[in-house]
Amino acid sequence: MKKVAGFIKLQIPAGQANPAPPVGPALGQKGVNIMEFCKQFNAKTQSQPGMVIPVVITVFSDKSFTFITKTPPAATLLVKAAKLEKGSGEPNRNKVGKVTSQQVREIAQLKMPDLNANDIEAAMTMVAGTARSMGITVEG
Amino acid sequence: MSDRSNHIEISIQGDPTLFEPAIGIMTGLGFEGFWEDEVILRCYIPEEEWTLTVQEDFSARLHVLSDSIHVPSPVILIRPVENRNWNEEWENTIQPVRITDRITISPSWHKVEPRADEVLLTIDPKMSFGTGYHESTRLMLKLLEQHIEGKTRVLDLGTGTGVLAIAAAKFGASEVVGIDNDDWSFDNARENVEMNHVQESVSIVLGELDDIIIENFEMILANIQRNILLQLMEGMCKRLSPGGILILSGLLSSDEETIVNAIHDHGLRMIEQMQENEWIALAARLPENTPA
Repeated sequence: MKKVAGFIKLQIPAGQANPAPPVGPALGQKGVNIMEFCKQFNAKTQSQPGMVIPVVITVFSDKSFTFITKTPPAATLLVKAAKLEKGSGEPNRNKVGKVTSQQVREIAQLKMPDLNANDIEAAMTMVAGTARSMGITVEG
Repeated sequence: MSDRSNHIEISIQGDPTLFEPAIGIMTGLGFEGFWEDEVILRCYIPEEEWTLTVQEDFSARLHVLSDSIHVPSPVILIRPVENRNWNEEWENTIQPVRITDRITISPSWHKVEPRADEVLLTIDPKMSFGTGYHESTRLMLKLLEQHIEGKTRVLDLGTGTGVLAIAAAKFGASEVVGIDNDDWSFDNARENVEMNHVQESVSIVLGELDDIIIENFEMILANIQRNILLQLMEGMCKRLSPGGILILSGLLSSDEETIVNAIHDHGLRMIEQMQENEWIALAARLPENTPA
């Protein structure tokens, strides 16, 4: 068994990892081959363009590594669904944006593998909770 | 691809329950990447995108967010991060790699005496891809070695360190073009070309396939990734001389069917396939009687 030297937790765009920060500084300081990580991550996530993907990298004492990717965070998917983009002006103090319950269902379906939820209804409740915590209202 | 623009790092120190929704909000503002540990979330955005509007949006939204989930406003630190060779620490650990009986890759700081029939590729990688440590590079070199005989004009798309272009030149190709759209790779490939004394036969170009003046090549090499190769397929096939060879990698075994179909759709015939672990490389030929 190889000895684990540490873990690195990043969220980066699918299929587009490159050595700029955060990948460069995060992996570089642990002596991991940055370009090899980028090649593997991009090959494995290229089917999800436009998504920010959480990845946990395990670094071993011999500088080798493995990684696992997860589904995009609910918050990122909600922001996408609510079409919150930069330069949209002064955000309302109480309401950041809105999504439909159909969008919440779609996000819940995508998130199911990583959520500790027994069924789609439970997953939807969790996603709706995240939306509320961000000031995004669920309509319909 | 990465250009060499500097980044702004925003460190958010506070209640970790804030991190996930903060990431959601910040991706909407143009932040490109996040690095999370237990108590700090570091967020990165290219310097030129850190405009006054984004700064104002960022502060206002983070404030709304911490209010709505009832946690204290986090401590925010903002600093520029200059781009540099982050791969230095790893570079110090690399050793020469023997790819085949005839090909060895070594960094310049290891002195390797090649045998008379051996091709030694001296490659200092910095932040470019192509060191022989990755399966796809090894597979490309093996297929290149088998099919390069008699080929003069060779194109290497996504050249990275320039390793494949340099290998083609050392196997006798006299007109080799390596192209990459990444600033780091452009500089690094040129340095490696000089280090291997092949600058008379290899030119390195910064740009895209359409920027290349030479109209056709007898061999085209591309170790990139499935989606990009599919986008480039038509352009690559147009640049291939009748009887020319296309060698592709950066592909997982799960990509095989899609790529082989695309190869056939463009009138090429598969001639060889290799696999190492989950990575594959494919060689295909454009038939001789194809109209130019």
